[in-house]
Amino acid sequence: MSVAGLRFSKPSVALAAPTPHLYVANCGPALNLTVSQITEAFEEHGRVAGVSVADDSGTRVIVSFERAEDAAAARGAWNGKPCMPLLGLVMFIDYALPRKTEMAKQSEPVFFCSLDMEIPGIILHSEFVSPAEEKELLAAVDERPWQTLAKRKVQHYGYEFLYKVRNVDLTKKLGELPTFVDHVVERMSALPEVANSTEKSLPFDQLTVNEYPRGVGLSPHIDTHSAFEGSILSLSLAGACVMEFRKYHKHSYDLHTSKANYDSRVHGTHIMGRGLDCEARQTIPDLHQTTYFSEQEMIEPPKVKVERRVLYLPQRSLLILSNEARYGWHHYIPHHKEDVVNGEKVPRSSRRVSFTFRKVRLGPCYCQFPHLCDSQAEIAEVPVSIINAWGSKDNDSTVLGREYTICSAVEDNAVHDKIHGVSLTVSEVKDATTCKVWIPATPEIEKMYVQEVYDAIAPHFSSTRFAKWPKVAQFLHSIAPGSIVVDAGCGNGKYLGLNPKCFFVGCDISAPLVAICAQRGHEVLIADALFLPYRTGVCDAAISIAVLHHLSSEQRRVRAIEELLRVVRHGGKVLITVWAVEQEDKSLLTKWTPLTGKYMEEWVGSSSHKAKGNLSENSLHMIQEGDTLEDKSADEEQEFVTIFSQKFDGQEDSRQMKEQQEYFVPWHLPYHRAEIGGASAAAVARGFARKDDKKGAVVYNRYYHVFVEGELERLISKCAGASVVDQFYDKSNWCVVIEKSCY
Amino acid sequence: MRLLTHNMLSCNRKGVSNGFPLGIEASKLEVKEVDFNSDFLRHIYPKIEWKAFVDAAKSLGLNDLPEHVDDSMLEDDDFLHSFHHALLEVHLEEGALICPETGRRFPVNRGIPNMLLNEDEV
Repeated sequence: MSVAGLRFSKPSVALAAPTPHLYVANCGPALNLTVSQITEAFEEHGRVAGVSVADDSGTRVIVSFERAEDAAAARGAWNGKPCMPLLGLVMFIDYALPRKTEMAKQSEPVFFCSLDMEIPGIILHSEFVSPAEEKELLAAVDERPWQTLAKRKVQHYGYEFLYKVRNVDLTKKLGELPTFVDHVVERMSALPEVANSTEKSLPFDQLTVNEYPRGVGLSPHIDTHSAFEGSILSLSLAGACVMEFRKYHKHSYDLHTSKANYDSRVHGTHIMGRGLDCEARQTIPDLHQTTYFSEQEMIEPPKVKVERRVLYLPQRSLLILSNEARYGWHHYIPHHKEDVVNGEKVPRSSRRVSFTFRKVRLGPCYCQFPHLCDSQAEIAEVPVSIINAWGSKDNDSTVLGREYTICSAVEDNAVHDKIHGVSLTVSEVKDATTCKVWIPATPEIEKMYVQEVYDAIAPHFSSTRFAKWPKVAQFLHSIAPGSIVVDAGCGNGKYLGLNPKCFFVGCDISAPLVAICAQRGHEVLIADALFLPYRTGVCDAAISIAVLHHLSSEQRRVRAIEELLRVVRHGGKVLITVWAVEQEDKSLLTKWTPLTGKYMEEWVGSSSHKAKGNLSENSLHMIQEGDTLEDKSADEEQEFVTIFSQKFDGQEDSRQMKEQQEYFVPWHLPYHRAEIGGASAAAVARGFARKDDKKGAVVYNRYYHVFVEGELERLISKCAGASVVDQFYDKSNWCVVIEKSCY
Repeated sequence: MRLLTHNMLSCNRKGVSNGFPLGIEASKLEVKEVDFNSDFLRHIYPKIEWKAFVDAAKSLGLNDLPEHVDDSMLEDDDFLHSFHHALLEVHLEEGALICPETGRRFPVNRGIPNMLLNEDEV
């Protein structure tokens, strides 16, 4: 047939003059029509040269007649009218005009070794599985039901990949990966580039098996950033193919402005196919294909500057994509029946089956390719310069304890703060100087209700944290020029660099927040406030702003102060601020969930994780989180319970709650935020967060130990070599400045 | 991560008695220009562990710093510019920091060292 191997699309402007080619909508394989049925039906009007699909939708075809008048007759008879030979289907028919493109041949060299690609993050292992293993894997999937897409078939394990939203639904876990991939998973997990990768890829919990018939490829795409983290591993079985990688140059192809233009003029293959069988968040027109354009389009072809590298994926090979290769390059398998490999024609096999292993992402993506990143699309809308400008101009609006927010919206977000601290000890050690014996476990309450929450809300949190508290600014400006300042628990880094004559180094336990600081050009690292990675006496001053109240035991709070004292030089100063029980706005406390001894017992208790009665709705949700402490020994659990029980003794029945110091403080993450996605859905599903439709937000709870008057000074008195030089209450916070004695 | 920060960092893993200075494995460096400020350099100089700094600079291929410095050199413009460049302008973007005692690697990605310890290391 004269049209074999060509692909077609509808012209953007209906052509007045007949051509032999018809673009026929509402007709095709998705409507259970075969090529021969369609050919037979149209032959009623004349000799048909060929029928092919117009795009990946399965509902549009190109019917090419040998003569234009026959095409005109068919169009006249059936356009918009029921077509009896095809079961009364109503089709919509236009003429199409062919246009040759520059690419009928493969012009790019094809590489066989991933190193030659010069794309960071691509690794190809040949013969990763043996022919026997290949046979077993294929037999296993062939025994299981396939889901049929327009042009290929798929199976999902772990989580289903939803093509419409190009993401997974974390609330709907299908189950574990099937046992027939166990040995492959084990081998992949042991690969050094996987096991040691800095972005976590293990354990794999999502597998998509794709079956590509001969001639079917994969439209150019990048796997949705927010859907998966770490590396993506793909096994090629039953056949080989080439895979092309494309990097669209940021300035030559601006997705936000040019995409609409493409959408309007390329009524084509991939735009229409998008969302159907393409695991991408955006799709780029396929420049390789021969397409049909209107005459107007022939004059102005789209101009896209693109870098291409082609890799040959042999049968039984394993392809690993990470870092730049995963986040910054589109990958694409041409829809060809044969590949041209360095001048030689290599036919595709009758089918190729790929096994793609991934790990679903629980939080937003913070890659270096924000223009390609769905997680970062919204963050980019609040330029740092604006945030900074507001912060410096608006000091009057700053209220520690309740800073005003940019995105207003949700009242409780105005409650400020950051993150911190981490690893913990659950045992009560009486003498602070013997604290070196740490029980190696971070308290679950901090892991879940401090670290996990901040990781989940980081960009939103950061967008509301810009106002700089005058008292902190005053402290920082009092430091001598050329000083080194450590901010332990720096959150989004709003105090870093505040005194431009000093060198600031920030750290935080939350990698997402640290990434935000780094994007703003601050010097930062990921570290635990309880184990600062600095040499002793290295800095001239240190600050700990709204950090200690996130630590869940007195021992940990003391340890954090000791660490601050350790890293400053003798004579150096430390500023510490914490939330006070004595809030200026008493009504705030009513919005918090007090943690009672009874609550802790039920929450932590080993026998029952189930909710019992009289707890608030919030608490119930959280108690349902089942396996929080499963990996702790019974002794540790008991100790943990004891500490909290003692602390709350006698308060449980008190309606006054005067001494209540342990709270969950809500954080409202508005539905419109980018961070709302898989992670939030999952958090809701497991009761870790809840939806508040009235406020249009997902509500997370953060753990707080709010301080009573004199408590901070009492903790400091336990630390050797510290003298309090200033202390004050301001805007619902207790604050102290301490000096490290010159002993 | 700048070399100034590197000069501050130490491995705090349990049982390590001297975690300073950390070795550097560099796979990607970046140079970002910073305004030259000789006063800042004179202030910061006494806080620098010089040998660790020179060794770290050498490991990144910066070889024009003297092994020994005395206060008079702080008036020498050439010296100050070399000092400025190595201290503040060269960033380790990708690589790792290595504990001198145990060989524990702390990865550095996108310029951010991850100094978190595992639960069995604290």
